Amino acid sequence: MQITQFPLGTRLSVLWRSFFIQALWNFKSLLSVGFTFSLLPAARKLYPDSGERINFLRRQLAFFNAHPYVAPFAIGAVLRLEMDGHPPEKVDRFRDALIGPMGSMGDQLFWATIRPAVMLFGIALLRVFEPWLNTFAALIIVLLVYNIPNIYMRWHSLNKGFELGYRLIKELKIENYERLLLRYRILGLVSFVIFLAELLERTVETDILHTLVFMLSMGLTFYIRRRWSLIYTPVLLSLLAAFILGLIKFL
Amino acid sequence: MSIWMALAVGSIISLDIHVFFQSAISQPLISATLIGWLCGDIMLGVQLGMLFQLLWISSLPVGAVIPPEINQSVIAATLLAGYIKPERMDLFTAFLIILVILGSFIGARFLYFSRLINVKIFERLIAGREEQIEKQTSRAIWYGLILQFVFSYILLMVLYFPGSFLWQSIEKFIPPRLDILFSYFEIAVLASGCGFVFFLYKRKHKQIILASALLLGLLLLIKV
Repeated sequence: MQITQFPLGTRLSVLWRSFFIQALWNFKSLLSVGFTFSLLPAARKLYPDSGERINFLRRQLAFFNAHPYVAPFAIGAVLRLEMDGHPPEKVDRFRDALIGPMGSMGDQLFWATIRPAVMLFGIALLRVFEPWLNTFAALIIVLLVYNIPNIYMRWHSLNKGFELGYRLIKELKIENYERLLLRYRILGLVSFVIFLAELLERTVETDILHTLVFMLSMGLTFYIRRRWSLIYTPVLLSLLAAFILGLIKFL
Repeated sequence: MSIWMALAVGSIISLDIHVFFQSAISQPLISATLIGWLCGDIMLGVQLGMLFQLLWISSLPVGAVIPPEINQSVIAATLLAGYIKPERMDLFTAFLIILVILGSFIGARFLYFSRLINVKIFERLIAGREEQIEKQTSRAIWYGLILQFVFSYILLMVLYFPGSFLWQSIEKFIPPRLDILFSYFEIAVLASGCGFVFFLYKRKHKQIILASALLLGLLLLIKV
């Protein structure tokens, strides 16, 4: 092994390719094709000999899964371990061991916290602050608030994975991102409260049946979602309740 | 803009859902606003985006789970609203809500089938010549992108054209005096969305976060 670090251009190329990591999501190997595709520029530097490179790439095609935003952790770590000349079976086992922690961390961080919080923030911006804020400006703010952590996490995880190698496993804990989580939770909750207050105000002003539909649908949805983890049923029941109350109004 | 071009724009936005970048541009709030703007009525897009954004906010695409595919249904619904420009808004909103719910179910089936086809592409890649593995991997990624675009385009057509036909029939079939029956559908969906948000935050422990956020939110509201 001759190289000790990848040039910035190669790392940026890997980062760019990581945006396609889910492009060939399939039931057999999940993200392995996107993972291998992301590794290609670095593999060319790491293994100038085509035989070695083919072996390396074929191993990566076997199976891989991760949250797309944190998958570069594994890309960086695999490159570090390959560069240091660790046995291929150990590298593969380590990559597979990262799948669970990466998935759990990414899902909690982005799907369960940052994305809902930013969308609630967007709703509050567009609904409450709309008279003062241009719609496109609001959309750009929303996209920035979402994508700054998205792109930062991809770049940070690529470099961190490369820096830590086997020690990466200690980094993959949601506790390491508590401050970020807290900020986005507060953003989401504040936005939701603003939106809810505005919605309630308008609902109460309309008529009593409006308020009744609102309270009934919200309570029903929360209860059913919590009790049975259903998604379609509470919405359909809310619509049924709305229809019945509409019928009462009609009669 | 012709409907065919608008469907293509919708399909390109749909790539953001799973296969490329995932920048949140495909989230209902943003995609509906953009499609509304393309159709010449940005505020209609904003309203539809807000209405549907909350609905599946607590549904998470964890692991290999395929959740309801709402994003493309919202794009189709916004295209319908933008091109039809209905006058009976209560009835039309109710129609769109039903269409989006049905569309999210159909969309999940489409995603499942596209992933089955991806298995075939993957198997061909594995069975291919070893020395061409780099080219074939890049090609497989392109196939994945093109396939997803085609599937999105077909799904949007499947929702738009029958949806348009269905709306014309419903409009003729249901007399305007019955529109009142559907007047609470919009608020029911918004309230349902709020219920999902409460569910999402109920697990997020630490009462202090909730209390401070509530307080701050109320203070901001008073200030505004």
